[in-house]
Amino acid sequence: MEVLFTLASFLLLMILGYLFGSFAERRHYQSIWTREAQYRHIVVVNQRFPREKNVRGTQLVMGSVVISVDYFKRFLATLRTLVGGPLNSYESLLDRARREAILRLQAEAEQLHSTRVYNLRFETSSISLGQNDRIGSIEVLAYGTALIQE
Amino acid sequence: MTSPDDYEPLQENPQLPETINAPKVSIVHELWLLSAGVLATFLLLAVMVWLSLGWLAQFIPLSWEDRLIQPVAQSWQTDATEQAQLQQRIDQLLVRSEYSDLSVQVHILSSSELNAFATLGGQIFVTEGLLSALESEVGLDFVLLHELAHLVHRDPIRAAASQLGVRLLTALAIGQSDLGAPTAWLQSTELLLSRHYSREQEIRADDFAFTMLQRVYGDVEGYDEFFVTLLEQGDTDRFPAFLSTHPHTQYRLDRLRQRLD
Amino acid sequence: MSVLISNLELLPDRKIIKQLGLVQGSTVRSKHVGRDIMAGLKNVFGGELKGYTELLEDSRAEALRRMQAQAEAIGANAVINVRFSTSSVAQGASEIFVYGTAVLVE
Repeated sequence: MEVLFTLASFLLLMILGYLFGSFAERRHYQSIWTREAQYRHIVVVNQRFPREKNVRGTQLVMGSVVISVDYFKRFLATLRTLVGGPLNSYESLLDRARREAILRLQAEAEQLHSTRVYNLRFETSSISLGQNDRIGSIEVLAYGTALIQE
Repeated sequence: MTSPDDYEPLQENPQLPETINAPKVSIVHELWLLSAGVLATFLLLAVMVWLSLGWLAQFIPLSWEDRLIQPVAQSWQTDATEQAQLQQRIDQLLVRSEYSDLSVQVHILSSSELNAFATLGGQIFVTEGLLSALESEVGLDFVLLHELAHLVHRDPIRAAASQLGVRLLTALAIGQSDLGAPTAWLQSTELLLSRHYSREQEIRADDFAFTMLQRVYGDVEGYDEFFVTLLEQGDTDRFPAFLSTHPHTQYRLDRLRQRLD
Repeated sequence: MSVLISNLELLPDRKIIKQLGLVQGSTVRSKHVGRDIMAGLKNVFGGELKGYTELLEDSRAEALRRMQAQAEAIGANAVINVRFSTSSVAQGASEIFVYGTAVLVE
Protein backbone atom coordinates (compact mmCIF):
# COMPACT_ATOMS: atom_id res chain seq x y z
CA MET A 1 0.00 0.00 0.00
CA GLU A 2 2.73 2.39 1.03
CA VAL A 3 4.76 1.38 -2.00
CA LEU A 4 1.80 2.11 -4.28
CA PHE A 5 1.36 5.52 -2.73
CA THR A 6 5.05 6.37 -3.20
CA LEU A 7 4.92 5.16 -6.78
CA ALA A 8 1.76 7.12 -7.54
CA SER A 9 3.17 10.34 -6.11
CA PHE A 10 6.39 9.78 -8.04
CA LEU A 11 4.50 9.35 -11.31
CA LEU A 12 2.35 12.38 -10.59
CA LEU A 13 5.42 14.51 -9.86
CA MET A 14 7.08 13.25 -13.03
CA ILE A 15 4.08 14.12 -15.18
CA LEU A 16 3.57 17.50 -13.53
CA GLY A 17 7.29 18.21 -13.77
CA TYR A 18 7.32 17.34 -17.44
CA LEU A 19 4.19 19.30 -18.38
CA PHE A 20 4.97 22.44 -16.39
CA GLY A 21 8.68 22.21 -17.11
CA SER A 22 8.30 22.09 -20.87
CA PHE A 23 5.56 24.74 -20.79
CA ALA A 24 7.76 27.08 -18.74
CA GLU A 25 10.72 26.43 -21.00
CA ARG A 26 8.78 27.20 -24.18
CA ARG A 27 7.36 30.36 -22.68
CA HIS A 28 10.76 31.48 -21.40
CA TYR A 29 12.38 31.01 -24.79
CA GLN A 30 9.58 33.03 -26.43
CA SER A 31 10.22 35.87 -24.00
CA ILE A 32 13.99 35.61 -24.48
CA TRP A 33 13.65 35.90 -28.25
CA THR A 34 11.43 38.99 -28.09
CA ARG A 35 13.62 40.77 -25.56
CA GLU A 36 16.84 39.85 -27.35
CA ALA A 37 15.44 41.50 -30.48
CA GLN A 38 14.41 44.52 -28.42
CA TYR A 39 17.86 44.96 -26.82
CA ARG A 40 19.90 44.02 -29.87
CA HIS A 41 21.28 47.58 -30.11
CA ILE A 42 22.82 47.35 -26.63
CA VAL A 43 26.10 45.72 -27.52
CA VAL A 44 27.65 43.36 -24.96
CA VAL A 45 31.21 42.10 -25.36
CA ASN A 46 33.86 40.82 -23.01
CA GLN A 47 36.68 42.94 -24.39
CA ARG A 48 38.36 45.13 -21.84
CA PHE A 49 39.50 48.16 -23.80
CA PRO A 50 36.77 50.33 -25.23
CA ARG A 51 37.73 52.45 -28.21
CA GLU A 52 34.79 54.81 -28.04
CA LYS A 53 35.96 58.41 -27.83
CA ASN A 54 33.04 60.38 -26.51
CA VAL A 55 32.62 58.63 -23.14
CA ARG A 56 31.10 60.73 -20.38
CA GLY A 57 31.20 58.08 -17.68
CA THR A 58 31.03 54.41 -16.83
CA GLN A 59 28.90 52.33 -14.56
CA LEU A 60 28.84 48.71 -13.45
CA VAL A 61 25.74 46.88 -14.61
CA MET A 62 24.56 43.47 -13.49
CA GLY A 63 21.95 40.91 -14.26
CA SER A 64 21.35 37.81 -12.24
CA VAL A 65 18.92 34.94 -12.28
CA VAL A 66 18.30 31.91 -10.08
CA ILE A 67 16.83 29.04 -11.97
CA SER A 68 15.61 25.66 -10.78
CA VAL A 69 15.24 22.40 -12.61
CA ASP A 70 11.93 20.53 -12.68
CA TYR A 71 11.32 17.12 -11.12
CA PHE A 72 11.35 15.30 -14.44
CA LYS A 73 14.71 16.68 -15.51
CA ARG A 74 16.17 16.15 -12.06
CA PHE A 75 15.19 12.48 -12.17
CA LEU A 76 16.59 12.21 -15.68
CA ALA A 77 19.85 13.72 -14.43
CA THR A 78 19.99 11.23 -11.55
CA LEU A 79 19.67 8.37 -14.03
CA ARG A 80 22.19 9.98 -16.35
CA THR A 81 24.83 10.30 -13.64
CA LEU A 82 24.63 6.52 -13.16
CA VAL A 83 25.42 5.91 -16.81
CA GLY A 84 27.54 8.96 -17.61
CA GLY A 85 27.43 11.21 -20.64
CA PRO A 86 25.96 14.57 -21.57
CA LEU A 87 23.10 15.98 -19.53
CA ASN A 88 21.21 17.58 -22.38
CA SER A 89 18.29 18.47 -20.15
CA TYR A 90 20.48 20.77 -18.04
CA GLU A 91 22.11 22.43 -21.03
CA SER A 92 18.96 24.21 -22.14
CA LEU A 93 18.39 25.28 -18.55
CA LEU A 94 21.80 26.94 -18.33
CA ASP A 95 21.43 28.43 -21.79
CA ARG A 96 18.21 30.08 -20.69
CA ALA A 97 19.72 31.26 -17.40
CA ARG A 98 22.70 32.86 -19.10
CA ARG A 99 20.67 34.61 -21.75
CA GLU A 100 18.23 35.85 -19.12
CA ALA A 101 21.11 37.25 -17.04
CA ILE A 102 22.45 39.14 -20.08
CA LEU A 103 18.97 40.49 -20.81
CA ARG A 104 18.66 41.86 -17.28
CA LEU A 105 22.11 43.41 -17.58
CA GLN A 106 21.01 45.00 -20.86
CA ALA A 107 17.87 46.32 -19.19
CA GLU A 108 20.02 48.01 -16.58
CA ALA A 109 22.23 49.46 -19.30
CA GLU A 110 19.20 50.81 -21.11
CA GLN A 111 18.15 52.72 -17.99
CA LEU A 112 21.51 54.49 -18.19
CA HIS A 113 20.96 55.18 -21.91
CA SER A 114 24.05 53.16 -22.63
CA THR A 115 24.47 51.09 -25.77
CA ARG A 116 27.86 49.60 -24.92
CA VAL A 117 28.75 47.12 -22.20
CA TYR A 118 32.40 46.07 -21.94
CA ASN A 119 34.29 43.44 -20.00
CA LEU A 120 31.34 41.15 -19.46
CA ARG A 121 31.97 38.40 -16.89
CA PHE A 122 29.84 35.45 -15.87
CA GLU A 123 29.60 33.79 -12.50
CA THR A 124 27.74 30.49 -12.10
CA SER A 125 27.05 28.95 -8.73
CA SER A 126 24.75 26.37 -7.25
CA ILE A 127 23.06 28.18 -4.42
CA SER A 128 20.77 25.76 -2.66
CA LEU A 129 21.40 22.22 -1.66
CA GLY A 130 18.21 20.25 -1.94
CA GLN A 131 17.35 17.01 -0.26
CA ASN A 132 20.07 14.36 -0.28
CA ASP A 133 22.67 16.97 -1.26
CA ARG A 134 21.18 17.21 -4.69
CA ILE A 135 21.78 20.61 -6.11
CA GLY A 136 18.48 22.26 -6.81
CA SER A 137 19.01 25.78 -8.07
CA ILE A 138 21.66 27.53 -10.07
CA GLU A 139 22.47 31.20 -10.01
CA VAL A 140 23.95 32.92 -13.02
CA LEU A 141 25.32 36.41 -12.64
CA ALA A 142 26.42 38.54 -15.56
CA TYR A 143 28.23 41.81 -14.93
CA GLY A 144 30.07 44.34 -17.01
CA THR A 145 30.79 48.02 -17.41
CA ALA A 146 28.37 50.19 -19.32
CA LEU A 147 29.78 53.19 -21.18
CA ILE A 148 27.73 56.33 -20.94
CA GLN A 149 28.29 58.31 -24.09
CA GLU A 150 27.50 61.91 -24.90
CA MET B 1 47.82 49.60 -23.18
CA THR B 2 46.33 50.72 -26.44
CA SER B 3 45.49 48.72 -29.45
CA PRO B 4 46.95 49.62 -32.81
CA ASP B 5 43.89 48.19 -34.48
CA ASP B 6 41.16 50.47 -35.53
CA TYR B 7 38.40 48.07 -36.27
CA GLU B 8 34.80 48.54 -37.13
CA PRO B 9 32.74 48.61 -33.90
CA LEU B 10 29.80 46.36 -33.42
CA GLN B 11 26.44 47.97 -34.10
CA GLU B 12 24.20 45.27 -32.69
CA ASN B 13 24.52 41.92 -30.99
CA PRO B 14 24.67 38.97 -33.37
CA GLN B 15 21.77 36.59 -33.84
CA LEU B 16 23.20 33.24 -32.85
CA PRO B 17 21.89 29.82 -33.89
CA GLU B 18 19.65 28.29 -31.21
CA THR B 19 20.63 24.65 -31.16
CA ILE B 20 24.36 24.86 -30.47
CA ASN B 21 24.34 25.21 -26.70
CA ALA B 22 20.94 23.64 -26.14
CA PRO B 23 20.60 20.78 -28.61
CA LYS B 24 17.01 19.75 -29.28
CA VAL B 25 16.56 16.30 -27.77
CA SER B 26 13.48 14.37 -26.73
CA ILE B 27 13.77 14.06 -22.98
CA VAL B 28 10.96 11.50 -22.82
CA HIS B 29 12.84 9.26 -25.24
CA GLU B 30 15.98 9.72 -23.17
CA LEU B 31 14.07 8.78 -20.02
CA TRP B 32 12.83 5.50 -21.55
CA LEU B 33 16.27 4.54 -22.77
CA LEU B 34 17.98 5.38 -19.50
CA SER B 35 15.46 3.75 -17.21
CA ALA B 36 15.39 0.56 -19.28
CA GLY B 37 19.17 0.36 -19.19
CA VAL B 38 19.46 1.11 -15.50
CA LEU B 39 16.68 -1.31 -14.59
CA ALA B 40 18.23 -4.13 -16.62
CA THR B 41 21.60 -3.55 -14.97
CA PHE B 42 20.02 -3.52 -11.54
CA LEU B 43 18.15 -6.77 -12.16
CA LEU B 44 21.33 -8.43 -13.40
CA LEU B 45 23.19 -7.26 -10.30
CA ALA B 46 20.36 -8.44 -8.04
CA VAL B 47 20.40 -11.91 -9.58
CA MET B 48 24.17 -12.08 -9.17
CA VAL B 49 23.98 -10.99 -5.53
CA TRP B 50 21.13 -13.42 -4.86
CA LEU B 51 22.99 -16.39 -6.30
CA SER B 52 26.43 -15.63 -4.89
CA LEU B 53 25.23 -14.86 -1.36
CA GLY B 54 22.99 -17.93 -1.40
CA TRP B 55 26.00 -20.02 -2.32
CA LEU B 56 28.33 -18.37 0.22
CA ALA B 57 25.83 -18.71 3.06
CA GLN B 58 26.27 -22.49 3.22
CA PHE B 59 29.71 -21.88 4.74
CA ILE B 60 28.29 -19.96 7.71
CA PRO B 61 28.86 -22.09 10.84
CA LEU B 62 25.72 -23.62 12.33
CA SER B 63 26.52 -22.06 15.70
CA TRP B 64 26.17 -18.54 14.24
CA GLU B 65 22.79 -19.44 12.89
CA ASP B 66 21.77 -20.71 16.33
CA ARG B 67 22.90 -17.53 18.00
CA LEU B 68 20.86 -15.50 15.52
CA ILE B 69 17.64 -17.37 16.21
CA GLN B 70 18.00 -18.06 19.97
CA PRO B 71 16.46 -14.80 21.27
CA VAL B 72 13.38 -15.38 19.14
CA ALA B 73 13.24 -19.14 19.64
CA GLN B 74 12.95 -18.70 23.46
CA SER B 75 9.38 -17.54 23.09
CA TRP B 76 8.35 -20.65 21.19
CA GLN B 77 9.20 -23.12 23.93
CA THR B 78 6.16 -25.09 25.03
CA ASP B 79 6.19 -28.49 26.65
CA ALA B 80 3.02 -30.08 25.45
CA THR B 81 3.13 -33.85 25.26
CA GLU B 82 2.26 -33.77 21.60
CA GLN B 83 5.28 -31.66 20.92
CA ALA B 84 7.53 -33.93 22.98
CA GLN B 85 6.33 -36.89 20.96
CA LEU B 86 6.99 -35.13 17.70
CA GLN B 87 10.45 -34.10 18.91
CA GLN B 88 11.22 -37.69 19.79
CA ARG B 89 10.07 -38.78 16.37
CA ILE B 90 12.38 -36.31 14.67
CA ASP B 91 15.32 -37.32 16.83
CA GLN B 92 14.72 -40.93 15.85
CA LEU B 93 14.55 -39.98 12.18
CA LEU B 94 17.83 -38.12 12.56
CA VAL B 95 19.53 -41.14 14.08
CA ARG B 96 18.16 -43.53 11.50
CA SER B 97 18.99 -41.28 8.58
CA GLU B 98 22.57 -40.79 9.82
CA TYR B 99 22.22 -37.06 10.53
CA SER B 100 22.27 -37.38 14.31
CA ASP B 101 24.76 -34.52 14.73
CA LEU B 102 22.13 -32.06 13.48
CA SER B 103 20.27 -30.34 16.31
CA VAL B 104 16.62 -29.80 15.46
CA GLN B 105 13.77 -28.32 17.47
CA VAL B 106 10.18 -28.85 16.49
CA HIS B 107 7.24 -26.54 17.25
CA ILE B 108 3.53 -27.00 16.74
CA LEU B 109 1.55 -24.09 15.38
CA SER B 110 -2.13 -23.86 16.24
CA SER B 111 -3.45 -23.46 12.74
CA SER B 112 -5.87 -25.50 10.68
CA GLU B 113 -3.78 -24.99 7.55
CA LEU B 114 -1.84 -27.90 6.12
CA ASN B 115 1.66 -26.62 6.45
CA ALA B 116 5.14 -27.34 7.70
CA PHE B 117 8.31 -25.32 7.29
CA ALA B 118 11.91 -25.22 8.39
CA THR B 119 13.70 -22.04 9.37
CA LEU B 120 16.99 -20.77 10.77
CA GLY B 121 18.78 -22.47 13.63
CA GLY B 122 17.29 -25.92 13.01
CA GLN B 123 13.71 -24.92 13.85
CA ILE B 124 10.88 -26.87 12.27
CA PHE B 125 7.24 -25.77 12.46
CA VAL B 126 4.31 -28.10 11.91
CA THR B 127 0.66 -27.03 12.02
CA GLU B 128 -1.98 -28.83 14.04
CA GLY B 129 -4.01 -29.10 10.86
CA LEU B 130 -1.29 -31.11 9.21
CA LEU B 131 -0.83 -33.42 12.20
CA SER B 132 -4.50 -34.31 12.31
CA ALA B 133 -4.79 -34.69 8.54
CA LEU B 134 -1.94 -37.14 8.15
CA GLU B 135 -2.95 -40.59 9.38
CA SER B 136 0.05 -42.76 8.52
CA GLU B 137 3.46 -42.53 10.13
CA VAL B 138 5.17 -42.74 6.76
CA GLY B 139 3.16 -39.78 5.50
CA LEU B 140 4.22 -37.63 8.44
CA ASP B 141 7.81 -38.83 8.24
CA PHE B 142 8.01 -37.81 4.60
CA VAL B 143 6.97 -34.26 5.53
CA LEU B 144 9.41 -34.14 8.45
CA LEU B 145 12.24 -35.49 6.30
CA HIS B 146 11.45 -32.88 3.66
CA GLU B 147 11.87 -30.16 6.28
CA LEU B 148 15.02 -31.82 7.63
CA ALA B 149 16.37 -31.76 4.08
CA HIS B 150 16.05 -27.96 4.03
CA LEU B 151 18.11 -27.85 7.23
CA VAL B 152 20.71 -30.27 5.87
CA HIS B 153 21.03 -28.22 2.68
CA ARG B 154 21.24 -24.98 4.73
CA ASP B 155 18.31 -23.55 2.77
CA PRO B 156 17.05 -21.18 5.52
CA ILE B 157 20.35 -19.32 5.94
CA ARG B 158 20.89 -19.26 2.18
CA ALA B 159 17.47 -17.75 1.56
CA ALA B 160 18.02 -15.23 4.35
CA ALA B 161 21.44 -14.20 3.00
CA SER B 162 20.11 -13.81 -0.55
CA GLN B 163 17.18 -11.71 0.61
CA LEU B 164 19.37 -9.53 2.79
CA GLY B 165 21.79 -8.96 -0.09
CA VAL B 166 19.07 -7.91 -2.50
CA ARG B 167 17.54 -5.60 0.10
CA LEU B 168 20.88 -3.92 0.76
CA LEU B 169 21.40 -3.54 -2.98
CA THR B 170 17.97 -1.99 -3.39
CA ALA B 171 18.62 0.42 -0.53
CA LEU B 172 21.92 1.43 -2.12
CA ALA B 173 20.31 1.86 -5.53
CA ILE B 174 17.49 4.02 -4.22
CA GLY B 175 20.20 6.13 -2.68
CA GLN B 176 19.45 5.75 0.98
CA SER B 177 22.63 6.95 2.57
CA ASP B 178 21.66 5.39 5.89
CA LEU B 179 21.19 1.65 5.78
CA GLY B 180 18.76 1.75 8.68
CA ALA B 181 15.88 -0.05 7.02
CA PRO B 182 17.77 -3.15 5.85
CA THR B 183 19.65 -3.35 9.14
CA ALA B 184 16.39 -3.22 11.07
CA TRP B 185 15.09 -5.93 8.79
CA LEU B 186 18.17 -8.01 9.59
CA GLN B 187 17.06 -8.05 13.23
CA SER B 188 13.40 -8.58 12.50
CA THR B 189 11.61 -11.88 12.86
CA GLU B 190 10.62 -11.61 9.23
CA LEU B 191 14.17 -12.51 8.25
CA LEU B 192 14.47 -15.21 10.90
CA LEU B 193 11.30 -16.83 9.66
CA SER B 194 12.08 -16.39 5.98
CA ARG B 195 11.03 -19.62 4.36
CA HIS B 196 10.77 -18.79 0.71
CA TYR B 197 12.88 -21.36 -0.97
CA SER B 198 13.41 -21.71 -4.66
CA ARG B 199 11.73 -24.41 -6.74
CA GLU B 200 15.06 -26.16 -7.08
CA GLN B 201 15.47 -26.21 -3.31
CA GLU B 202 11.98 -27.72 -2.85
CA ILE B 203 12.60 -30.40 -5.46
CA ARG B 204 15.95 -31.21 -3.89
CA ALA B 205 14.29 -31.54 -0.48
CA ASP B 206 11.66 -33.87 -1.96
CA ASP B 207 14.37 -36.08 -3.41
CA PHE B 208 16.24 -36.10 -0.13
CA ALA B 209 13.11 -37.05 1.82
CA PHE B 210 12.34 -39.83 -0.64
CA THR B 211 15.83 -41.29 -0.42
CA MET B 212 15.88 -41.08 3.38
CA LEU B 213 12.46 -42.68 3.60
CA GLN B 214 13.80 -45.59 1.58
CA ARG B 215 16.78 -45.82 3.88
CA VAL B 216 14.69 -45.70 7.07
CA TYR B 217 11.78 -47.92 6.06
CA GLY B 218 13.22 -49.83 3.16
CA ASP B 219 9.90 -49.26 1.47
CA VAL B 220 8.26 -45.93 0.62
CA GLU B 221 4.63 -47.05 0.52
CA GLY B 222 2.36 -44.19 1.63
CA TYR B 223 4.95 -41.41 1.27
CA ASP B 224 2.53 -39.37 -0.88
CA GLU B 225 -0.13 -38.90 1.78
CA PHE B 226 0.69 -35.22 2.23
CA PHE B 227 0.43 -34.43 -1.48
CA VAL B 228 -2.72 -36.48 -1.93
CA THR B 229 -4.40 -34.83 1.08
CA LEU B 230 -3.36 -31.42 -0.18
CA LEU B 231 -4.81 -32.13 -3.62
CA GLU B 232 -8.02 -33.54 -2.12
CA GLN B 233 -8.45 -30.37 -0.11
CA GLY B 234 -8.53 -28.49 -3.38
CA ASP B 235 -5.09 -26.96 -3.22
CA THR B 236 -5.42 -24.78 -6.27
CA ASP B 237 -2.26 -23.01 -7.16
CA ARG B 238 -2.97 -19.36 -7.48
CA PHE B 239 -0.09 -18.50 -9.74
CA PRO B 240 1.34 -20.17 -12.82
CA ALA B 241 4.30 -22.37 -11.91
CA PHE B 242 7.00 -20.06 -13.20
CA LEU B 243 5.80 -17.26 -10.91
CA SER B 244 5.47 -19.36 -7.82
CA THR B 245 8.45 -20.18 -5.61
CA HIS B 246 6.85 -23.46 -4.61
CA PRO B 247 6.44 -25.95 -7.45
CA HIS B 248 2.91 -27.16 -8.00
CA THR B 249 1.80 -30.00 -5.79
CA GLN B 250 0.72 -32.14 -8.74
CA TYR B 251 4.09 -31.66 -10.39
CA ARG B 252 5.97 -32.70 -7.25
CA LEU B 253 3.79 -35.77 -6.85
CA ASP B 254 4.20 -36.78 -10.50
CA ARG B 255 7.98 -36.45 -10.24
CA LEU B 256 8.20 -38.72 -7.21
CA ARG B 257 5.82 -41.28 -8.75
CA GLN B 258 7.98 -41.38 -11.84
CA ARG B 259 10.98 -41.95 -9.63
CA LEU B 260 9.26 -44.87 -7.96
CA ASP B 261 8.68 -46.50 -11.34
CA MET C 1 38.76 26.88 -41.69
CA SER C 2 39.05 26.66 -37.96
CA VAL C 3 38.39 29.54 -35.65
CA LEU C 4 41.39 31.02 -33.88
CA ILE C 5 41.03 31.08 -30.12
CA SER C 6 43.00 33.28 -27.79
CA ASN C 7 42.64 34.68 -24.34
CA LEU C 8 44.57 37.78 -25.27
CA GLU C 9 42.79 41.06 -25.61
CA LEU C 10 44.17 41.43 -29.11
CA LEU C 11 46.23 39.37 -31.47
CA PRO C 12 49.73 40.87 -31.86
CA ASP C 13 50.32 39.29 -35.27
CA ARG C 14 46.91 39.94 -36.74
CA LYS C 15 44.84 43.00 -37.40
CA ILE C 16 41.27 42.95 -36.19
CA ILE C 17 38.92 44.13 -38.92
CA LYS C 18 35.57 43.80 -37.29
CA GLN C 19 34.04 43.15 -33.88
CA LEU C 20 31.26 40.58 -34.15
CA GLY C 21 29.94 40.07 -30.65
CA LEU C 22 29.81 37.72 -27.70
CA VAL C 23 29.89 33.97 -28.33
CA GLN C 24 29.48 31.18 -25.78
CA GLY C 25 29.86 27.45 -25.54
CA SER C 26 28.63 25.30 -22.74
CA THR C 27 28.21 21.63 -21.94
CA VAL C 28 27.04 19.62 -18.96
CA ARG C 29 28.44 16.13 -18.48
CA SER C 30 28.66 13.37 -15.96
CA LYS C 31 30.79 10.29 -15.49
CA HIS C 32 29.15 6.95 -14.79
CA VAL C 33 28.73 5.80 -11.24
CA GLY C 34 31.60 3.30 -11.34
CA ARG C 35 34.02 6.14 -11.93
CA ASP C 36 32.39 8.08 -9.10
CA ILE C 37 33.01 5.19 -6.73
CA MET C 38 36.64 4.90 -7.83
CA ALA C 39 37.00 8.63 -7.31
CA GLY C 40 35.54 8.22 -3.82
CA LEU C 41 38.25 5.67 -3.04
CA LYS C 42 40.90 7.92 -4.49
CA ASN C 43 39.75 10.66 -2.16
CA VAL C 44 41.07 8.58 0.73
CA PHE C 45 44.57 8.23 -0.65
CA GLY C 46 44.82 11.43 -2.65
CA GLY C 47 46.28 11.72 -6.11
CA GLU C 48 44.92 12.53 -9.50
CA LEU C 49 41.38 11.55 -10.35
CA LYS C 50 42.09 10.44 -13.91
CA GLY C 51 38.44 9.82 -14.66
CA TYR C 52 37.45 13.32 -13.71
CA THR C 53 40.40 14.89 -15.50
CA GLU C 54 39.30 13.13 -18.67
CA LEU C 55 35.69 14.13 -18.14
CA LEU C 56 36.57 17.79 -17.77
CA GLU C 57 38.99 17.69 -20.72
CA ASP C 58 36.29 16.20 -22.94
CA SER C 59 33.74 18.73 -21.75
CA ARG C 60 36.12 21.60 -22.34
CA ALA C 61 36.81 20.42 -25.87
CA GLU C 62 33.07 20.15 -26.52
CA ALA C 63 32.39 23.61 -25.06
CA LEU C 64 35.13 25.09 -27.25
CA ARG C 65 33.66 23.34 -30.29
CA ARG C 66 30.29 24.88 -29.54
CA MET C 67 31.75 28.35 -29.10
CA GLN C 68 33.61 27.96 -32.39
CA ALA C 69 30.40 26.86 -34.08
CA GLN C 70 28.68 30.02 -32.85
CA ALA C 71 31.58 32.15 -34.05
CA GLU C 72 31.54 30.52 -37.47
CA ALA C 73 27.80 31.04 -37.72
CA ILE C 74 28.24 34.80 -37.44
CA GLY C 75 31.15 34.91 -39.85
CA ALA C 76 34.03 35.25 -37.40
CA ASN C 77 37.45 33.67 -37.79
CA ALA C 78 38.77 34.34 -34.31
CA VAL C 79 37.55 34.52 -30.72
CA ILE C 80 39.56 36.70 -28.39
CA ASN C 81 39.59 37.27 -24.65
CA VAL C 82 38.33 33.75 -24.01
CA ARG C 83 37.38 32.80 -20.44
CA PHE C 84 36.57 29.40 -18.99
CA SER C 85 34.41 28.64 -16.02
CA THR C 86 33.50 25.35 -14.35
CA SER C 87 30.61 24.81 -12.01
CA SER C 88 28.80 21.82 -10.58
CA VAL C 89 25.16 21.92 -11.52
CA ALA C 90 24.05 18.55 -10.19
CA GLN C 91 25.59 15.83 -8.09
CA GLY C 92 28.24 14.10 -10.16
CA ALA C 93 27.81 16.47 -13.10
CA SER C 94 29.63 19.63 -13.99
CA GLU C 95 29.19 22.37 -16.49
CA ILE C 96 32.01 23.79 -18.53
CA PHE C 97 31.30 27.21 -19.89
CA VAL C 98 33.50 29.21 -22.23
CA TYR C 99 32.91 32.63 -23.69
CA GLY C 100 34.72 35.28 -25.65
CA THR C 101 34.36 38.00 -28.23
CA ALA C 102 34.13 36.91 -31.84
CA VAL C 103 36.07 39.04 -34.30
CA LEU C 104 37.09 39.01 -37.91
CA VAL C 105 40.87 39.19 -38.37
CA GLU C 106 43.03 39.58 -41.42
